[in-house]
Amino acid sequence: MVDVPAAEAIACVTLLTVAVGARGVRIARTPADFLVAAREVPPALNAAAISGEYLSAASFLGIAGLVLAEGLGALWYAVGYAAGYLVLLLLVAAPLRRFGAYTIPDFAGGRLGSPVLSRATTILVLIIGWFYLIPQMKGAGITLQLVLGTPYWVGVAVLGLVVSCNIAMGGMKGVTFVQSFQYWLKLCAIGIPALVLLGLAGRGAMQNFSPGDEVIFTHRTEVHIAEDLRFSAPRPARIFLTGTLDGRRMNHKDVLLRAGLHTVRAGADLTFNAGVRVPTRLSLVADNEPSWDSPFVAAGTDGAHPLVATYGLILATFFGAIGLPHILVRFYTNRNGAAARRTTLIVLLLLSMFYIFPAILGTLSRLRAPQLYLTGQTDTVVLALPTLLLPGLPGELLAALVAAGAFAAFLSTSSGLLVSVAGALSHDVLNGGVRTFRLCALIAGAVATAMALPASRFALGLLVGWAFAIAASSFCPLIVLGIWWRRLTWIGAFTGLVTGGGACCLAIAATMLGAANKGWGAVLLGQPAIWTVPLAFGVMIVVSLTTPQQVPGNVEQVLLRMHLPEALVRRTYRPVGRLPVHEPLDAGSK
Amino acid sequence: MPGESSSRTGGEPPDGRGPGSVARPAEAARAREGQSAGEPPRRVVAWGHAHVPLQHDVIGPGDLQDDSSYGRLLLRSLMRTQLGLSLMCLALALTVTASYPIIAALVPAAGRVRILGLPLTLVVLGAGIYPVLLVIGWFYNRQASQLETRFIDLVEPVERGRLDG
Repeated sequence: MVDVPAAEAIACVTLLTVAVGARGVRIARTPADFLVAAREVPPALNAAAISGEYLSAASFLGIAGLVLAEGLGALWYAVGYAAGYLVLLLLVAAPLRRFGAYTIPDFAGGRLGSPVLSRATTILVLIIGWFYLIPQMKGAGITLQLVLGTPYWVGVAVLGLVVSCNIAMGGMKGVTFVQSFQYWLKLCAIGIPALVLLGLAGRGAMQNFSPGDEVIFTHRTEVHIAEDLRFSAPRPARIFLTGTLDGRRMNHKDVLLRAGLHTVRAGADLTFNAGVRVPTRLSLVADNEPSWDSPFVAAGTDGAHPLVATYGLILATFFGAIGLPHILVRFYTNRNGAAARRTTLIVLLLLSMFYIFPAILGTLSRLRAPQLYLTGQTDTVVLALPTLLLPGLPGELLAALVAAGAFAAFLSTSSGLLVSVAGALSHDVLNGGVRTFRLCALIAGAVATAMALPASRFALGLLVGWAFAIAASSFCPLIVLGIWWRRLTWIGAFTGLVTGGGACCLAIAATMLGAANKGWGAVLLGQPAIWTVPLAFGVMIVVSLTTPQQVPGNVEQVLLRMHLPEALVRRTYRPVGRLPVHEPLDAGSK
Repeated sequence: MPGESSSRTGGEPPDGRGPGSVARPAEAARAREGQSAGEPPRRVVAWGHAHVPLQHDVIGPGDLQDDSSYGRLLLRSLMRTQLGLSLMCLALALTVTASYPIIAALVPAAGRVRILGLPLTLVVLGAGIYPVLLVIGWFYNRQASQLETRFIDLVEPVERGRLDG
């Protein structure tokens, strides 16, 4: 199945991104230009750029998919992604801008002056960056799979190639304008279909809000099975079948689908009558999952201890945004600390506007397109919904709009991440200039592409949630304590980073390998932030207190620089303007 | 609380103004009062120590820049008020958002409430929570800017006076 308008829309977005990026080559000359476009970006434009960069595959596709599969509790992902910016505004926005570090390794080095710590932060930037890139690549893979019918790896490879070449050519200069444009594109691409489909849905489908997991077909529905799958039928039902079911080939036959497990071959068409319970793809919805309309998180934990899992996710997302490597760079493009705060508030507004729509689409898909439970392709629900609910050209056009928005999401987030990862590689590991940066962009893109290939079985939202958990239990304590606490030492920060970040990575790896899938093991490994964030803060504080002789001598000056309003900085210090951050801090004082 | 730490890290202040610094904590306290009441800052002479240079007895950017106990106090007071404001807003935001799951767990009936036919969870998590976050953010932004303006007012006029003189 090739959806022509959607394919054209994806091509347009990609070409536009490449074209504007190429234009940026002429302007970008120095490494600083490559990393952060000129510095002076007005708050409204900057906020749109930050939001454009932030709204990733997880926001655009993942949340609605998780809402369908796991229930309304998955909306905590959306709330957390937005609230992360509130926490960022409250704790770090202005001081971070005043400190003037491009990257987290720069921040760690400038604040605590330890090369060992800088090296550790660089490694964590690479881990988080690559981990966050995987779901973007996966998103591209499944989008092209749905729109063009290409194999999964094609989309992954296309995105990897486009983004790394684009970054290698233009760096951030082009990206700033593209990012802000992409925010509005994404908002329209999800908002217009959501409102149109909401208007069409009417109130007739409300019965699927009925308690528990009992979803019914609200009208006679034909379901095309694109790949072999096993599913379980809750009740016996008469269906109309063309294709192979349980090893028997049928052609336009009425069959009785018994309750229990069934296997269906790719290419089959099943038609269900209105009122029939929807069969569920095996392992899509766990048996002990909390009811669909409850506010608890089940993603990653198979429904074990839902309240603990919910708070784990809240901790991860609320505090994870601070530690994302591609966000800090953006703050540097604000004029001053007050502008950084204004920008963050506008970002919060823009994100709030956006996140209403995945909730609408996720809910609509449960109400009107429950066959997605059977096919199990919940991550593509946003892409599939327009054509399912609105047949014909209007549906195809809406689907094209959604596909364009989805591709904008993959392109913008992975561009930002790749700049951070390539920047960390070239700036901190290899100590190179523009040429090294370009090379690193290509290498980092290739690595991310390779890592995304085996990741197709994990939900998008889940993968991004894990990246947040790692950031929240490593960089968040480093930055928050670094800004507000004089007695932080590099040893304390280093130990905290390694313990918190390491524990979180191990827990996630254990979950991905299927180490525990029920009880406390599942919840503590599947949503690890509940214990790794307090662990990281605790270790950082305790170890810093036991190594007071390691408190850097210039701590007062550094804190002054972070907390003093710029109006006074001009008098006390040489403006930190275009200084490279590695310059000693005291060099600027009179 | 991290921001309330009181350790001294560097060695003794290198300025050799030992006697003068005795009177400064009181002075800084007064300065903070002036800051919170919005009064213009006053020139204060550290009485009883004639050898203390006058310019160090007025609040000014010089004090901030020097590694003196006085400049340190001034910065510490700014940081403490900012951190207090941030933590207050953070506590508010966390209370509002994080209380919903626990309420739903304790009172299962709350989860079955319908608003215009929609589940309460959808109304709260889908839309209702965002205006609350925005209001908290807007309030913080306004307060933080006001704190900074007051701090600048506290320090800036003195600097201007010194330039004029």
